[in-house]
Amino acid sequence: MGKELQKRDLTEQLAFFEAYAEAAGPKGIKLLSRLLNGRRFLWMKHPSPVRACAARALGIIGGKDADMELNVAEMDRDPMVLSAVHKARTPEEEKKAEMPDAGS
Amino acid sequence: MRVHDDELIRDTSAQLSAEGRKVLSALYATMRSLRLYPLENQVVQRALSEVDACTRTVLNREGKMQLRLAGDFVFFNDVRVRLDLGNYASFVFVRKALEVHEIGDIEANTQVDIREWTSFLSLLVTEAEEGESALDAFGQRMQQAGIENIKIGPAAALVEALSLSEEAKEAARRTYARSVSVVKDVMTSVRLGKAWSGRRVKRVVLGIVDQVLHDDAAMLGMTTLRDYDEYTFTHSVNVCILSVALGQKLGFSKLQLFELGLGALFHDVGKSRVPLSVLNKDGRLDKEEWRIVSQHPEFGLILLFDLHGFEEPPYRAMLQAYEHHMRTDFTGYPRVIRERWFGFFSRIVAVSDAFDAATSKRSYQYIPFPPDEVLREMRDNPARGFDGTVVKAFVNMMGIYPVGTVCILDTGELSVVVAPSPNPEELHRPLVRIVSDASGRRLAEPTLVDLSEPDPATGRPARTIVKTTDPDKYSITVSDFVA
Repeated sequence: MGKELQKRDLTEQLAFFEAYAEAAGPKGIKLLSRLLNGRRFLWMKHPSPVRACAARALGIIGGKDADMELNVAEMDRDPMVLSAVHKARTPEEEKKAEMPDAGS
Repeated sequence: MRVHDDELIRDTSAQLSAEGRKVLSALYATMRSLRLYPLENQVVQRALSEVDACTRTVLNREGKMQLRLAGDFVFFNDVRVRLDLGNYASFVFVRKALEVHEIGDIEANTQVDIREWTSFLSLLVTEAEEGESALDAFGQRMQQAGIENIKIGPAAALVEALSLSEEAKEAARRTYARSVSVVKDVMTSVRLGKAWSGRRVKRVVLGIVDQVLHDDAAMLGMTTLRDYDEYTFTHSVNVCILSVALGQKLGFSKLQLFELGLGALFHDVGKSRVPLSVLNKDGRLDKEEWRIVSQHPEFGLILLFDLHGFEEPPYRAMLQAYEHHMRTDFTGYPRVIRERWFGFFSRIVAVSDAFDAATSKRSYQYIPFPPDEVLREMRDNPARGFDGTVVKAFVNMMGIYPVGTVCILDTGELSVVVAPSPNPEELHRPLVRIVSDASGRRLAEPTLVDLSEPDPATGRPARTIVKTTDPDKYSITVSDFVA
């Protein structure tokens, strides 16, 4: 994922990753895992927002392979990535239950 | 490549826009000082030098300098000057001074000098002469003052502009035809698994954006050119034109219009993965066929990864391809399992797509819906799931009776809408071409009429739309009168 996408705000980045996950399905795991756990130039990891979005996208695809990549990311110390991995693993019903009511 | 093009568009437009603001401010300062001080005063002389200096920079580079007023907009060498609170006062001042003399257009060539600017601006701050035409009188005074390198023109009324826009129509027609041909090539290449060139695509989108910025009425008229056999391609181009025109009304920058246009042009690229037998089936789709068709937004996103000629994949265009059938209440498709951010560009494409699809003849829709009914349904039925703000802006752009609507007037005449009313309070009184008289006789030369124009005798509009009707009922080819 290039610089153009990284310039967008996080919501738009996430929307794109989610769309990609829905459209590509298990075929997208390779690219997403590279973004989440792979290394770039000078052994650096990808920026946290990109990694977080990739984790959420892997959560959407689901399955054994995606789960394995999320397991690797769970060892990470980046709080943004850890939070995204947690959210990726939380089933949708629980996510809704965690959300406060509009009135409260 | 993308970065270069983007930068080029951004740089040229931004530079001209900034220079336009500078020229406006200089004109404002000079006219103010001319009203307060004599010509010899240092303040006046300094302001005049500033006008000469900033116009000289543009003239040397562009060969001409044109300042054109169009309603609340000002265009500097065809680039819209973005006004903010800081320069709005100067714009209003200059506009008022020009309106007094009925001037809507100033054009200077490279020969213009400070003497001519001095005479011209001194004339501008004087009262308009009593008489028939203030513009003609001003022209004569310019001639007497020996101003030869500054030309003035009227603020074109919409009816006049439409009558005189044959050249613009021809250019719009060329752009439209080229765009359809490129979309056809691209879709065919994708279907055959061949590579497709982003460079041609870029040129087409830029062509549409430029044409819309230049004359959106002519381009919107082109959307009535519907070809049953080439529906998929003409539909893509129509959606692109409608989206870019709407983006322009919403104040998008040229770069944003390019991104919006690119996504709109290829929102249906995923359909090239759908078998033609399914795509062109006349009649209802069965469950399996529907499943395949409803996957086209997902196919579209993936296919746009293969768009070469861009430095990076066009992310926004990909999102538009993916989201254009989603609804604000998430009832559309692809189905989403959670609430998600729904892009503004996608909301625009969703509205343009639905409007064009509903008003076109397709393999499974022999009788298209009347445009005004479609707009009403989009606006009044929240179950359709369109963004209310976007629909409102779309109605404002198209008018209550969109271009191409066939109407019966209270005089019994049959007419075709050719442009929305320029007055936002008169959206129900568009500009029409009278096709046949009250007795049903076809007119050899269809006449252009502004329905908001009052009858001099009664003071009330001379004609009013009674109802809309189906063009096929009267064997009318709408595009003959509009495009």
